[in-house]
Amino acid sequence: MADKPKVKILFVEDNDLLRSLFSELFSVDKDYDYETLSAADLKSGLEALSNRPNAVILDLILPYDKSAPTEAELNEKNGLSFLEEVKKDPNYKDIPIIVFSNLNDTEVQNKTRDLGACAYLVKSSTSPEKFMTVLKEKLEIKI
Amino acid sequence: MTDTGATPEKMDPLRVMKHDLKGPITIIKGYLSFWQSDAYTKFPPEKQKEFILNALNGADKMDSLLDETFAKIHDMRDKGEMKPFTP
Repeated sequence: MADKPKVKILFVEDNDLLRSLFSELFSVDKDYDYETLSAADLKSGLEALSNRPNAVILDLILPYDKSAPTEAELNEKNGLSFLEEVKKDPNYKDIPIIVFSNLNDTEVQNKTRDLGACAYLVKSSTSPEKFMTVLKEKLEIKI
Repeated sequence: MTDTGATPEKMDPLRVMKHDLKGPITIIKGYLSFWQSDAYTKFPPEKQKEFILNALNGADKMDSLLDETFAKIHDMRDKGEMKPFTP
């Protein structure tokens, strides 16, 4: 049997359990051999882009720097600013970014689309199967 | 630093609270869905136990977040900081 193609997924998410859940899901996937890059804050997420992930899964509400969170940062920097920054960077703008958030708000969803996100999934109403289907679609994987 | 236009007003404290409360629900539903789809059979028994524990931790987190959220709401109400909120 041929080796599964390797893909790198960058998870920009501050919830440890959620990152674990999806890492487990990736570990049993039949189509791909996933390498999960985890970033618990936006600063780490931006730094991890240099690893050239095939896709980014992005939360919207998380600290810029988990070691020094401030209320002001929460207001000024969030997943939207991350998305904007990445899509303006010629080195990284082509990396598909799937927003994975519990903000179920049409205005925010439209904003992420305008900024260049390729999909928006609401965490609490997205099953792991649905998540994997969308991820693979965006990676141009034929299931 | 950004002109996203959807920043401060979207990070309204009540909206953040709602977002935070849904986090544990995502965890609980995610792990339970392994059982619904039989995906759990792909994992060894010790992993299955870990998943149940993670779902229970999600429920505990939900419990503590509810307490924190209502404390914040009461505090905001007492300070007259409550604004109309549309979920």
